[in-house]
Amino acid sequence: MPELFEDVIVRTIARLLTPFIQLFALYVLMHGHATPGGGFQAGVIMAASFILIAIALGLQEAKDRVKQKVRLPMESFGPLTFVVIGIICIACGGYYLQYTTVPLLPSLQAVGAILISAVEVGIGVTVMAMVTTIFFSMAGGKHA
Amino acid sequence: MIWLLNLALLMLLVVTAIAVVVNKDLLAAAITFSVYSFIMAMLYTQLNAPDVGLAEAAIGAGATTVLFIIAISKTARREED
Repeated sequence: MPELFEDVIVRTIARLLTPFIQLFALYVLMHGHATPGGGFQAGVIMAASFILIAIALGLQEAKDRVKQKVRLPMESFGPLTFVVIGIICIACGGYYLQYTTVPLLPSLQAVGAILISAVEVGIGVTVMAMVTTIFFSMAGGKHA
Repeated sequence: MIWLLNLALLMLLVVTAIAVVVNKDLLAAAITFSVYSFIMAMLYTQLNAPDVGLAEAAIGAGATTVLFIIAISKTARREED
């Protein structure tokens, strides 16, 4: 990365805009089963907010917000969610990821929505960590 | 009248695609490529695929442009013949 671009407007706008981008990412994540969007898109939008921080406020600032020791477990969280929920579905007598067999609530549709949302959260967390890691390791050199 | 908008977007898409390939300044090509992605996202939304459009807008116009610019800043900005 080139040296920091010291401009008060850019820095202030980036700092103000970041929470709204992250809120939009959470909206896309939680409404993924009903409206356009889903885990992957939400993860990329969330990662874009950290990329914006890295561009405007410096790479070190962004690295402090998502530390590597937080990112590494997050990268494995998504596949783990898939496996755990799939095996829960098998244990309840259905196929792999057959949500409607899980006797969590009386309404089968509600169970499906909850479990799909859980899987989407896993995908989103993984994609966010992966895209941020790709960006950091391309921009920052050795210490990703 | 929506076909007029589609026609304008498609013509702009062809123009930006040619501009990306022809341009010798790689930074300008990367920025033009993000414009291409954005037009593509609008077209996907127009074609009733808002899911793909959202992904294209987030990844094509957002993430890959930043990666291209990092790659350019680590190498050369101008293309050599």
